[in-house]
Amino acid sequence: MEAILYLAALGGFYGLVYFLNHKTPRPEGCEEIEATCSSCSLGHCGNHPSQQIKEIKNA
Amino acid sequence: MKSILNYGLNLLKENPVFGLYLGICSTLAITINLNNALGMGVSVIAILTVSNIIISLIRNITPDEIRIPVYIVVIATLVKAVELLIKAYAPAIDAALGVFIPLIVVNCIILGRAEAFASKNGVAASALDGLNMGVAYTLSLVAMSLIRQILATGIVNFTNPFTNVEVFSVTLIPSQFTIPIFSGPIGAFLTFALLAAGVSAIRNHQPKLKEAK
Amino acid sequence: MELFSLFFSAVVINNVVLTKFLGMCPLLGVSRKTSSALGMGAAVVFVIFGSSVFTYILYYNVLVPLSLEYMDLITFILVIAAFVQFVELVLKKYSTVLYKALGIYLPLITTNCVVLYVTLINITEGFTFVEMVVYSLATPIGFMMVLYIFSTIRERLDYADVPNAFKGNPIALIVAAIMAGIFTSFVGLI
Repeated sequence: MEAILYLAALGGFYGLVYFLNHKTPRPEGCEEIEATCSSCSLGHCGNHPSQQIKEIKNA
Repeated sequence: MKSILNYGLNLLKENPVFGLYLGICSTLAITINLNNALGMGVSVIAILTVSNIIISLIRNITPDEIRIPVYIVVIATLVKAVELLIKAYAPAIDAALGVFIPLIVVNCIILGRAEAFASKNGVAASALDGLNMGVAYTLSLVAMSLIRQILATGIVNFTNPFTNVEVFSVTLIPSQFTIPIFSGPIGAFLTFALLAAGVSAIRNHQPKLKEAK
Repeated sequence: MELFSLFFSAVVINNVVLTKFLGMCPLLGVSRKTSSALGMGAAVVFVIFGSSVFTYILYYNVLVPLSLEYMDLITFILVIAAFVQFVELVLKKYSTVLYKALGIYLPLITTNCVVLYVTLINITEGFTFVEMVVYSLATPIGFMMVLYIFSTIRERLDYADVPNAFKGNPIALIVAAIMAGIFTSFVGLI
């Protein structure tokens, strides 16, 4: 069915771009800046501490 | 009795809405009356529990780097399914909540719990956690909507969404004493601020109680 | 409806934050300093405009011909998320200056209610392409305006004598209540 093919294509594209972005390191001079978002409890945001540990593991 | 008291206290201290400020967009917009709050709350309980179960089931086969995209696809599919079900079987809720049903996809609670709990724990524990968080969210919504509805219209009523039959209707405040601004944005922000301050006060109070003992 | 009244009503009269309560998470999280508010606002304008254009084109040229309208929600959220990741990737590789200014706020915008709201409204209101462009520029400009005003007030609030229970987000919400009251007086302006 076209719906499943379409979903797979779109989801695959998103997964690919997400993966590429996750692997690309930040440009020099930018490693220390943190978004000044205080009291952030969104664990899925890319800036959250729980995501940073994974970055170090991958690099 | 003690465990219910403990549960209630935990609900206040680690409330996802008033304590952690997750999912506040729909909280402020929905809580105009009890019907909306219960409709949204039950939908979120269903979606949260099922998404926790599914994500816990696939947690070992999803590659670690693309967790978030997989979770988003799962949650979006579930939300769309629930939206179509609501449109078919409970059109009154669809007319009342409108665009906020699809917006459950970006409700921070669901993705947050999937990331923080369901991706690391077994199916039964995740399902229970989903139910827990969903019930906490629903109770917060109901509390806020009761306050707003009573102050704004003086009437508390509940209509069965499947059959459009009114189940009960209680007039608590005569209509001369109602404050209509609580239906609008000002009342929403004000009620939320006061409830959040209340929860924050209780949280600050707790350690002092323990020290005093 | 004419484009100017569409623009003005999206920015001021039906402001997405103060009348529709969307975008509250970044409002409370990022509005503590003026500089971060401006960065966040600019990032939101860019993401909403880009993803609106893409989702509009995708909806009317792919979903409708294949009669897959029920896939709209999944499509929109995936396009938004992919667009955010793509923009962050491009900024990381090609523009350090822009990355410093906006790039760090981009991950927060993926689950922002406003982006998904605008993409859904573009379809349910049946906007033409030009109306869609105007609306998807006006809404985040309204968001940025409120975010900026909010951050200027909050910077002052940090030095005020606020009761302990209200410190942080509760007092900010009371400020939002007052702002909402002021903005409702704009109804019927044009």
